[in-house]
Amino acid sequence: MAQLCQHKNKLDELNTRVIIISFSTLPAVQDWLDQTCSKFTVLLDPDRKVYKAYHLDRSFLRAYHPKTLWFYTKVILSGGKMLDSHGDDTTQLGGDFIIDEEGNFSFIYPSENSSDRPPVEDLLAFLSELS
Amino acid sequence: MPSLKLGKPAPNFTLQSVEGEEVLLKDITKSNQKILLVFIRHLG
Repeated sequence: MAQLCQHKNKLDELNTRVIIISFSTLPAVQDWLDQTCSKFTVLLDPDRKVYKAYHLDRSFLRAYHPKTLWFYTKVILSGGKMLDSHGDDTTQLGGDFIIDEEGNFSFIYPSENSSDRPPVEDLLAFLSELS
Repeated sequence: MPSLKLGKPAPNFTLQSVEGEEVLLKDITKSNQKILLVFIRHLG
């Protein structure tokens, strides 16, 4: 999220609005925004109805995939700080979608595991091609 | 549940923002902007 935040101006140039969706509680989300990025619209989906509608799975095995564990090991070894999960369901996976000006999908990327997200550079390149 | 396909309409939804506003996806798409929709996992 911090990376996306750094590219807010570029996203504006690309006529792209970023919408963040979280299933967490409002106080937890506000705390998270204070620590990460508060430049984008953030929507709350506590029942995960929209997560389900966008086919985003819950999976213990995929959430705790070795790649994920290695990702967090590197974060800790490099002096990074782990954020509190606030008691959230850590098996819920995320995803990234690009929707064009007509409301149609241009890009669909459900995360394979907890640390799997498309690189921001790839998203920006894709959005540039759409412009 | 219908499958998600490139070039097909994204499922509409209404959710509340952290500021307490009701937000409809359809209303945002009317603004003639592209949307990058990011579903985050847990906050940790």
